[in-house]
Amino acid sequence: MMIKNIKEEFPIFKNKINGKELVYLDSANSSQKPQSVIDAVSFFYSNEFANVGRGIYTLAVNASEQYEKTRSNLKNFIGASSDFEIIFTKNATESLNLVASCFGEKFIEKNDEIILTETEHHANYVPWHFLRKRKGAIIKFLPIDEDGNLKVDELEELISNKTKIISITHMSNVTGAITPLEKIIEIAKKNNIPVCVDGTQGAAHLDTDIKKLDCDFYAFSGHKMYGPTGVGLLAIKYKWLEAFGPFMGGGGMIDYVTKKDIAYARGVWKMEAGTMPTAEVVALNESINFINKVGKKNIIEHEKKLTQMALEKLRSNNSVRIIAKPKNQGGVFSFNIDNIHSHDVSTILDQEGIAVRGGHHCCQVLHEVLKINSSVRVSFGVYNNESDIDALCDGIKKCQKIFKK
Amino acid sequence: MNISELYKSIILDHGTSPRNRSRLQTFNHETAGFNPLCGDKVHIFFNLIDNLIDQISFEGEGCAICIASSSIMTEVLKNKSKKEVIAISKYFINVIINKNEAFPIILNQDNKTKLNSFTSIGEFPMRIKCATLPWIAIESELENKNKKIIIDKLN
Repeated sequence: MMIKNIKEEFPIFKNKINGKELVYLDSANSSQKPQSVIDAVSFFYSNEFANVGRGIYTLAVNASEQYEKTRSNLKNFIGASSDFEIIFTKNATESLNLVASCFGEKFIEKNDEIILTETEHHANYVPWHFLRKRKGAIIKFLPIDEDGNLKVDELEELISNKTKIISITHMSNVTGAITPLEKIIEIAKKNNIPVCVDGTQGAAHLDTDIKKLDCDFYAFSGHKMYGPTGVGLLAIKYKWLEAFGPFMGGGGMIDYVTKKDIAYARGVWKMEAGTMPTAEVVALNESINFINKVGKKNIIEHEKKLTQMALEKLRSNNSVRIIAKPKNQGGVFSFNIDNIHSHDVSTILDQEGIAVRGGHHCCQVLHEVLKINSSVRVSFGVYNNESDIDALCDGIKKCQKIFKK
Repeated sequence: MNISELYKSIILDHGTSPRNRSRLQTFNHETAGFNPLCGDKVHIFFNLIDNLIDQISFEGEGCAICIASSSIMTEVLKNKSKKEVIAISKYFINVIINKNEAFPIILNQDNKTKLNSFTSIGEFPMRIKCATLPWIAIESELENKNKKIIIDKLN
């Protein structure tokens, strides 16, 4: 599958937005879906639907098989060794809540320390804040420099004998800064501290080989990798899955239940209570196929090239301030136009068919550190091309024209 | 909808050069509004003497719509009574969400024009909260509505 014609695979681009061609620059928020993924949802419901892990009739067995096929394909997709299992959740947020809640319940005591970074999305901060409240834990933030790079050199100073876990993003969803995970995990391992990676921005856009990384947890979501909404993923080292108590109670996660005692299911089933997003998990398999057909390496290169091209063009506009300048950057960046608020920019661009996000992108701490109220975020997907960047530049000029009145 | 219908010159004027954007020296009421979606913040100060707003100002960060709405609000509400503030606030929200409804209210033409400049916001539903933010804040202060933000403070 060639990137050049890839837009044709995505039916949404046939629609006009406010009378204009859609220029979708919000893939860090959620990606659009190829026809093959959309068809897979419809096909499953039309021909193969049954709940999984319960019935012993043909439909149920087939559905369970397909559901498990996605699980095993996902393992290959992120390079998980046999040390890892993959748990299905609702979204990456739930995956991170699962880690914070289950890890915290067992291993966090009063005054124990959790290390996060200043760039974390609220999904990788608020669940740890709950622990701070519930258990009296302490949260430390690894700072960034003025260009938006994590000060990895300061990590060792932050670590103490009270540090119980490090939870860190794979890539900032605001600045696009790619975390030097190898270095951080090396330091963590040396100090015997487990590492949880928020891979929400990484899974579909960066090289993801968790066996090589040797992290303990890797949280990501299907809807950001051209898959359906409603599916989150958590790759978890088997030893932690064994050590954790269940996250939620209900059907499917038990071995037996009496009036007195309850025995929990083993393995991933312990963590998958109630009916799961069956059709979405099955269709997620198609999104893995899609990425593999295009080639992850090609996607990474394509998005990197677009980012550099866009940054170069935007920097030639004297009123545009790119909010960070990370050393290693993925397909995301954020900017502000002098004297125009990000929400005004977003509304004006929308009238031109351009979808960008204005605001703090669920990263208020990062915005506070960078001393800005909000920003406009541009993020690329496989379907973007050079003409999208030209449209963005024209849209920015339109914003400036309106506010010059 | 043409984008210039939203960004009318009066809104751009107040949005980029807001009036009464400061902290009052003396005030006996203050209230704040916060939009978690975009991070817009307004903090309103006013001095209520004999049931009349004697002085009113605001501080805040936000988009042109939010800042213009706050600026215009401080101009319109000066020397108005509590009751009038609530009525004007209702009028303003009506202007935005239901343009056709007649609303009996005592406002001079200048103030009416200012408030009516927000009529097109209804066409941009995601931006309605930008315009209503300062009005909801002052309404909740005057009506003592318990709409305070709950902050999960550390001990």
